[in-house]
Amino acid sequence: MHKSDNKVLNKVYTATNHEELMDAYKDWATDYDKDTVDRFGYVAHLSSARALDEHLDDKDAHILDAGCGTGLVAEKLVEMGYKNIDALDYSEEMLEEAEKKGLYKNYIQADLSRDLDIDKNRYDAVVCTGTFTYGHIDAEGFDRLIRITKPEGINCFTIRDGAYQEYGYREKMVELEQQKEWELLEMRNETYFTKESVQCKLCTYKVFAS
Amino acid sequence: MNQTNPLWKATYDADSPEEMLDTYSDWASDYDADTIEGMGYVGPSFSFRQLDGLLDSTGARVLDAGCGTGLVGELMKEKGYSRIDAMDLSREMLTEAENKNVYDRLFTADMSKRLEIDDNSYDAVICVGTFTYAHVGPEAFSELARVTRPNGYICFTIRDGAYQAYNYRNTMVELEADNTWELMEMRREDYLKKENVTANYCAYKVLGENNHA
Repeated sequence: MHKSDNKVLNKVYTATNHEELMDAYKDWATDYDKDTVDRFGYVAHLSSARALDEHLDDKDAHILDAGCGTGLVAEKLVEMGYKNIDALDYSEEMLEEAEKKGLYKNYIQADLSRDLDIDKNRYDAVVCTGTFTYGHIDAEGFDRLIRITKPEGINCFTIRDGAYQEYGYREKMVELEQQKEWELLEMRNETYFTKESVQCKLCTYKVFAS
Repeated sequence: MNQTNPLWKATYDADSPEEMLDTYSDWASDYDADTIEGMGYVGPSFSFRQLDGLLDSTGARVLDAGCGTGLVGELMKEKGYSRIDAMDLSREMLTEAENKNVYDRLFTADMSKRLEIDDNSYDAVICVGTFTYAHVGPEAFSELARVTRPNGYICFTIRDGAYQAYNYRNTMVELEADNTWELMEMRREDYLKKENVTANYCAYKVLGENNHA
């Protein structure tokens, strides 16, 4: 189990089940942007949006922001000209915060650790930032992202350093590539929290035909 | 590749290693100016920056595989690295590299064959501009991993186009699945900047869990 010196981060990282995790986010939703961006120097949403943009050539691309939280990634994507973005999060309170920003077409409340009620091959791209981390979604989440992405579509996600090594994400990523489920386009080491010196892996994959 | 320097193009179009060596032999003395200034060749500086970010000490023993005229060695020497060996298939290119006085030991070798280098000899290997058309294919990866010690690093470039045509990625994934190495980073960045050509810049950590048998 990972502990952070920071109280709010500690609560989400040490959640032992998704009910506890949702509880933590419920209390946090309204202060989340201020806390993460201003206090911790959270920047992963910016590098994720940039990475996705480098691999998409159509601003009309149908994008799912999986684990959208309060909508930080979409703020950047909309600024870049993308306009066809759906939001998915397990926390109703976080989704409500995201909805206030008016950036998304559809809002989906769903748990990424379970099968999603979304059609296969639905999206041109899925971006998933800040979700592969302690106490959140394990490597099984990759299968779900792949299933709902079109062949040749893009999956772009961050994995927090530390959790990357502990949760077996890499083994699963390699296994899925060996099985020709997807192909790695880029994996970059990027800053996650500038003020806490935490890094993440920023991964971009192309999904193969299934 | 229309606007590409004709000598650079000739190395890609070579039908045999002999033809490629002929081209490098004629080109050796003008190579640096032609590639860096003429074509905006940034492979050496980008790849070295990646390796430098991974190494703890400038005392690391490094092999510059496919050193050419020694562009990478020059950058490394400037940063204080002092234990670098150089390897290339072309004698003329090695002579140019030798004139730079940045390498400990220089030797010719064909990277498409087994190298006459002991297992685990180096803390790191850097290989820039070698994984490209008509040069060296993915079969060389396991040899580079073999001569690198466990927990050592390998940084290399793969030119876009050749990357797809030669299936480098398949071997990279196979070697990761069998725990030969672990990917640290793979970035797509400028390679021949003035010609809008990119490359994949790869950095691996060698795990050494296979026995190199």
